This record gives sequence, structure tokens and C-alpha cells, in this order.
Amino acid sequence: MLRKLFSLVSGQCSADNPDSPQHQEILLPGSLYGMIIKEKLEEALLQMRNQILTDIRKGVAAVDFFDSLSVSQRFETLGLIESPREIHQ
Amino acid sequence: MATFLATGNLVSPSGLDLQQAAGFTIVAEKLNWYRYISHFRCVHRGAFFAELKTTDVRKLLPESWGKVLRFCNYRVHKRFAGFICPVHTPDGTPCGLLNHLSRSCRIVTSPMKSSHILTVLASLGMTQTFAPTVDGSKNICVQLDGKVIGWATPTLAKHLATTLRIYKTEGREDIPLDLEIGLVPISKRGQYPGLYLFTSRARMMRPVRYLLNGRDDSVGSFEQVYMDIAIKPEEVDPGVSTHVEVSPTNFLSILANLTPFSDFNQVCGIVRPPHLS
Repeated sequence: MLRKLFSLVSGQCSADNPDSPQHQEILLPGSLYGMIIKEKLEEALLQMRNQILTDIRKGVAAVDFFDSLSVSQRFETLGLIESPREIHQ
Repeated sequence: MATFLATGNLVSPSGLDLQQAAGFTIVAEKLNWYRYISHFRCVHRGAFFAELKTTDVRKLLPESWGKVLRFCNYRVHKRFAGFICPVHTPDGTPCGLLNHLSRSCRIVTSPMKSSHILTVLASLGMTQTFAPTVDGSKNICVQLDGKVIGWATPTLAKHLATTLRIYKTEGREDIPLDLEIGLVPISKRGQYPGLYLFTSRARMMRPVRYLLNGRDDSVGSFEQVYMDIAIKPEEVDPGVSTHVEVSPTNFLSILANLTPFSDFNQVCGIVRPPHLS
């Protein structure tokens, strides 16, 4: 890349044209959905982390990562996942 | 996700590196079959460009340099030819921004094996990146999906490109057909030279016939600029042409292909370019 930069500055090569399809790709729906889902999952994880951190700091509730029930309860209180009943409707 | 699909609005704190946050989905109107099928072949340059005053992004036939392909007095720039239909674009605001894929254009959607390409190239004589000395003034860079994988002299790079193309069309050495082999030759003030290989997804590819062995080949939009593709077998320029089109009207969209007698004088009625040149 450094070579290319030097070559461009010294005028030995031309800049790539971003308007040309030569340098373009198609944004596929699948990649877009993937990006959205990935970001939403990251958001959910961060929310979860924040909630657990506040709980530990305040000492209100014991945090047990091996208790799947309390973990799923956390998810529900945060509204991150819909309960199965809602999905069926 | 459901909101996104229903409204086309993207609610995201980062913006996902996209230039727009709305208008990602459209309703496929079923006015008639032709309009309906066109929805599934159309591609938009992005809402951002719709507000630009410049027509640069909309142009189909810009630069005066490079080879142009003639089809009934209408000049289609070589780099566009084949992937995006030159005539199937609406009048008005989205003109030139909302395009339709050509009849034969495909988009690569499945990942392919690329790890062995380095070994194949090395066995053909490419200098690998761990070589103690590489003369930068005599060698050009070989890149696979943007990663530097080695160095080669311009003559060797040409040999590598040809051999890879023979391998991929004949299915030898497990080289995938959708591998794009973009050999940018050394030129004065042209594009930066190198041998650029692509195996990634989301690229546009289209079928043509490779003249050297008469096999079906698949070319991408990057490599096509440096190729000479004859439209009809009679137009093959010996020593210059490397490929020939499967069908002369392959560069038109599905809809434009349905226009009757497009290889007669009536074409002037179909191929009326937008006033952008």
C-alpha cells in the first residue's frame, strides 16, 4: 500500500475511481441482515453486562451464571428476547 | 429485524458503515410480470448519490481512454459492459443510479476454498512473502482478497494469470471457476499494476467463453477491464481477443432482451441513452 501511495503521489499511477463498477461490490441482503443481527446481539450482551455490574455493585441479587433460569429471567426483564408465547402468537 | 424488513429503516447506533439509514426495502409491486421480475434484478447505487448534483456517478460511458464496445452506434464503456444493463434504468431522479443486472450476470454468494491457491502459485514460480530479498522495482505484487501473498516479475505474473485461468476453466488443481484473476499491467499513469485475485462473495460475475481452450469461463468486473472480449466469434481479433461472448445480447437486462429485433435497426428505439454524456 505504501508503494502504491508513493506511486500515486509521484504521478506514476492514477487514483482508483470509486464510481466504476470495477471497484464495486453488491450489498447482499444476507450480509445486511447478518450485520444487523450481530449488532443487536452485541447490544444485548452489553445491556446484560451493565445490569449484572449494577446488581453486583448494589448487592441486590446474587449473580449465578450456572442457573439458567435466572439468566433467562434477566433476558426477559431486559426485554431482549420475546417469551415463547409471544412468538407463537 | 421485523421492523427493519417492514419499514426499511435501519436503527443502529453505529450506522453499520452504511451511507444511508432508510429505504433499504421496497415493495415488489406486481403490476405485471416484467416489472415484477425486474425488481429482483435491480441494484441501487445508494440514496446518498441521489442528492448529488454531479452526474459522474450516473454515467455509463465516461472516460475517453480505454477500449469501447460498439453496439449500433451506442458506445458502452468496456468496464460496464456485461454486468449492468446500459438501457434498463428509469427516467427521472434515480436515472443511472437504479440499474438492472444484465441477463447473464450472477452475484457470487457462496464462499470458496482459497487456501491452496498460494501453494499453486508458489509451485508456478511466484516469490513468496518470506523471501529475504525482493526487488521492488522489478516485481509486481500478487494479492489474494487484498492480502499480499507474493511477488512476481511482470512476465511471470502474466504467465501466472494465464495458467490460473486454464486451471480454473478446466477445473484442475481445484481452482474455483469464480476466482477473479485481475492482472493490471504496467502502464504510465494507469492503474497501479499487480496481480489481484479475488475469491470473496458479493462480486458480479458473468459467463463468457475462453478462446484458448474453448471452455466456459466466468469473468468479474475487475478483470474485465483488462480483457478483450469479442462479441461474436467472427469478430475475434487473433492474438488480441482472449474471450468471446456466449450471446451478443448478454449485456442487456432480462427485460431489454425481450425487446424484439434488437439486432436490427429498431435498436435505436430501445437503446436511447439518458442524456448524461
